[in-house]
Amino acid sequence: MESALTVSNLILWIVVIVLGVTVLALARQVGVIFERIAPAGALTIGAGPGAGDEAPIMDLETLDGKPIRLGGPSEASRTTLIFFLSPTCPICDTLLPVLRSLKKDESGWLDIVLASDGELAEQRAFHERKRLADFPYIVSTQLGLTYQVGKLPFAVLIDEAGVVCAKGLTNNREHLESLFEAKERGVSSIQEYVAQQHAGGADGKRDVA
Amino acid sequence: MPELDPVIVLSARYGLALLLLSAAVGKLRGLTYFRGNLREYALLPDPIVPMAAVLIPLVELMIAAAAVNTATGAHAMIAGGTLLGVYAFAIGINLLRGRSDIDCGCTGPAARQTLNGWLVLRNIALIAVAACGAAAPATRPLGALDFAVLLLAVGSGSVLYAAVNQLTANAPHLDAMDAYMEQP
Repeated sequence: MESALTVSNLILWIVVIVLGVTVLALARQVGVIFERIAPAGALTIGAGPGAGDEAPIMDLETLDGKPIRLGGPSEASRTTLIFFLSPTCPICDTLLPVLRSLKKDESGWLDIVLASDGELAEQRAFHERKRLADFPYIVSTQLGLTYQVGKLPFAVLIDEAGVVCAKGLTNNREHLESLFEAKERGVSSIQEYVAQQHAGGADGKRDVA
Repeated sequence: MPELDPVIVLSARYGLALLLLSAAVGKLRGLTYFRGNLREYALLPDPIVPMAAVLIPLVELMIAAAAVNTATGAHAMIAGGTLLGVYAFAIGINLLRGRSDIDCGCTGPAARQTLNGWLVLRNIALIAVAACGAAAPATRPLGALDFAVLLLAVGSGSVLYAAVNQLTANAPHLDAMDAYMEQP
């Protein structure tokens, strides 16, 4: 009897430890997921022209001196993605390859414009170092102020009619793609999408968290 | 001192020794970080913060070393419980000040978690463990099974403690996400 209890006790201990390790692993995974997605979705923050508003027409100049017009109906009926970045933003760096692949894959309908702000010499060095010559690169304080860009990397999608379809903080490829998704579905932000899901749900219980 | 079964007393002592050791090592490895951390708590006058930042992990190490020694174990548990009480107090004061955005600094920069009520509760639970460790172990012959149980109890206790810590560290992320989802 006593040896049976001893064996049972030891087996239970092993089970307890395995369960403890499992709980710890799960908790860590949740933590990692939070880090990856935080802040969630391509978040729309603050003021500035929002989805559905006409993008203000701005005549600007790229780093290599070419004139560029943002906003207003596009003659070639192309959509424009303005991607706000900075030489000092590490997450922006991780998105550069994504932008390159988007430029290649979506070249049929999408123009990508990079926008930054700050000292010109630093911008030129960054532009050179990251080999960004393929993209129109605008250095303009006015542009950032117009769209009320507070946090980077930030992206604004303007459709062929010159209307803002979506904008938000974009920390990864999924966030960037969510902007295109928003254009396709006519939903301006993840908040609006969640709100729609709630309205469609039985009692408004949260199903996206 | 009331007597408790030696397995319970020793589990408490070894468990807390392990906890204090990992806390001290974490703090010493990220000393610059911990110094800034201590300053954020805003409880000590600025000039003594650098000294306190070294002293705190050293005290933790000393208590951890004393805890595993039979002769000094009970006293180490009283000191450890007091230290955890001081931490809980420091966290509580800053929570009352509304400064829930600062890092606990519990284990240095490796495991960041912002201050919250759970940390106070956690420390109170740890003080209860220290109280068990401060009891005198009853004299009874210890067999192989007792040592196995001691090892397993410390192991499972540490793993569960780490899991609870991780979960409390996750909680503010979830709150932030909820707050975000609810904004218009």
